[in-house]
Amino acid sequence: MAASSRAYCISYADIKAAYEVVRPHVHMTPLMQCSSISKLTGKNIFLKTENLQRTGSFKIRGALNAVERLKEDHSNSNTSCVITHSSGNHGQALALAANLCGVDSYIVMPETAPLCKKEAVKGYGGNVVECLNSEKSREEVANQVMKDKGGVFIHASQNPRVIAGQGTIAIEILAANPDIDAIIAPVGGGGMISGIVLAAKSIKPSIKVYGAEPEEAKSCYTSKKLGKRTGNPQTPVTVADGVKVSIGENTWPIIRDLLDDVITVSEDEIKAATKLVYERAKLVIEPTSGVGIAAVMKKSFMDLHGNGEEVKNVAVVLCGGNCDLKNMLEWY
Amino acid sequence: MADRLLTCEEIDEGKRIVESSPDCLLTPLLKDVHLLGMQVGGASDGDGRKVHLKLENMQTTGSFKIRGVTSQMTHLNKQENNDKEKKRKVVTMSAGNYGKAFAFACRKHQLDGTVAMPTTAPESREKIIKEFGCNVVRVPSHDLLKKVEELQAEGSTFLHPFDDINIIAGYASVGMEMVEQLGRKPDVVVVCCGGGGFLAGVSAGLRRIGCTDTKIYGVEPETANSMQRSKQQNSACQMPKAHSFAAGLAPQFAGTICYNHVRAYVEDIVVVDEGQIASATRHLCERGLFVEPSGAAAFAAVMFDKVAHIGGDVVIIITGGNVSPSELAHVFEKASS
Repeated sequence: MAASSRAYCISYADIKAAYEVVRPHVHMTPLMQCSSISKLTGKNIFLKTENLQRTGSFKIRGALNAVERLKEDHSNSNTSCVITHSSGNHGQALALAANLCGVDSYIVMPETAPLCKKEAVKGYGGNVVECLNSEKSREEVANQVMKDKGGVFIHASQNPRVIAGQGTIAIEILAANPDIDAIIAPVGGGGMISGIVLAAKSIKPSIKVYGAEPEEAKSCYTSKKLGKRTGNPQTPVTVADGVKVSIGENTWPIIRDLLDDVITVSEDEIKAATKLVYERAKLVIEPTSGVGIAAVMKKSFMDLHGNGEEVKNVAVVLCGGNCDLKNMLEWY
Repeated sequence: MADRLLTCEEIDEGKRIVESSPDCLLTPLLKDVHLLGMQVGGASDGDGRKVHLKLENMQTTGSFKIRGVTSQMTHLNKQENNDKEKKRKVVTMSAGNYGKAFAFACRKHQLDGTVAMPTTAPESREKIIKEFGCNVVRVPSHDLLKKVEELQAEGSTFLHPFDDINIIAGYASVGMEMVEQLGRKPDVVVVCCGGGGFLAGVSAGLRRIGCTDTKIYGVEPETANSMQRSKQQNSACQMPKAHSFAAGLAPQFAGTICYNHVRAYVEDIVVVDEGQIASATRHLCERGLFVEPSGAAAFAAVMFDKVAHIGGDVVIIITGGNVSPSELAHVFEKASS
């Protein structure tokens, strides 16, 4: 199925345009070859080190693209202000993106969010607005802020400009190494994987793209299996805190049509993979990034997808490095 | 021997050995790290300064030491082994990264290795070295050299952990690699300094590849500044009371051959304190790099404006990443900012 033949919320042209917008502000993070993981999998493994990206994750790409294009997209709204709810990487990314574009930002976060995350948002010039630790409270408080301030709500994974921004990761991977024949990335809301698969298959139609999810939060896997969008359980319990959300209505069609497969991994596999990256690659990653590494190391994946000559060079996206070392010590 | 400097041939041979060894990796040069949000010093970036990091923490065995060890062992293998039935015996003294690289290489090169380490060294160090199949013998610090001499008398060849011309030749490869990766001559290079072997090698390599104007700085902990004192006194000196939580940078003397190269090629030696090393370690960790305190000292020097004439292309070498997350968590508590 050609990447351009269906009407998705974005096109490859949108991703190319996003790259022009984000390129001056984000780092083209290195694609590092990791010999230890390569030896363990029998494939050439390349790590796309978005843990080294500004704000500590890839999310700055989508956030920047969205904020830069505010005036175009929302000419009737107050474009001097952006709002979101996120205790994770999107909150920090949006705060910095807003700062770079001279716009105010309001990040709604649960009062129980770690202090370092609140401090990080403030450090980037964002305003932290606290809510209770529930989906309901997050939305209520965000709605209240929008009422009070006006401004534009930027969703972490379903906003088309955000998805287009995340797709620039694939442009960089293939520019750094055109011989990459497969890309693996973790999936939460699906913003990153849908941007990546759309861009990658537009540039190199033969490339394989796989999503990776925790067993405990496998909305993407289940949706693909059932052929219809299905959500995660209410409160998934996983060490991969960045991918607890379920895939959404904008990312689902792209995933449904273009993603080759989804691999699920256990909590132990995620922890072991995260530890391996620390010890061998000497990169600091958050456990969510370990999901992709765990997937590429799974025997069932290598048997199913890796045996043929067509998959030799695999890029794994290390999506972020924002972790609390102290929390990790409990299971390290 | 007193004023011995590496010859061009020796440097080129060192590079050749490292490049052709499957044990030594071409580590990344992370360019222009300001874009990654790394605060490197108070000077504004309007002065066109670009900071790059040479990531030797990603080297085989987690530090640059494998380059020196590989060079040492290649030269050793060229010598006659008197007892061809048995494996050649080698001995060294190091509880740190050199010991780990040595043990790894002994297994690779089929050598019967023994590492002498102080009784004060942590259990984990002994475990790591034994896992490579190396013997470990523990003695009080002041008896290390005596133990080594005993083993030499029994037929082991002593491989010095840093004051060895072959080691320094292996390290020169880093100085040359960074220039090839950068694509131009750096203006400033900042290097962590313990016994001074790495600083000696890197500076010799830089000069060999034509970087005659590059200003090279060594960085030591202020409580273990044997090389700084050596430079002040015009001779390699001992420092029995040297100590630092960055243990890799605190041997009790500056190497003699190392000092010769420092005197010839290095602009200056600067010092940083514990809090600064801890801050640099944490700063790097927060931005995605797993670095041990000894490996972050050079970064600390630039971060806290200890290096004069810091402009243009600045390459900082991240020398090692052998530390556990729990050790790091403790280190962060010492951070000064």
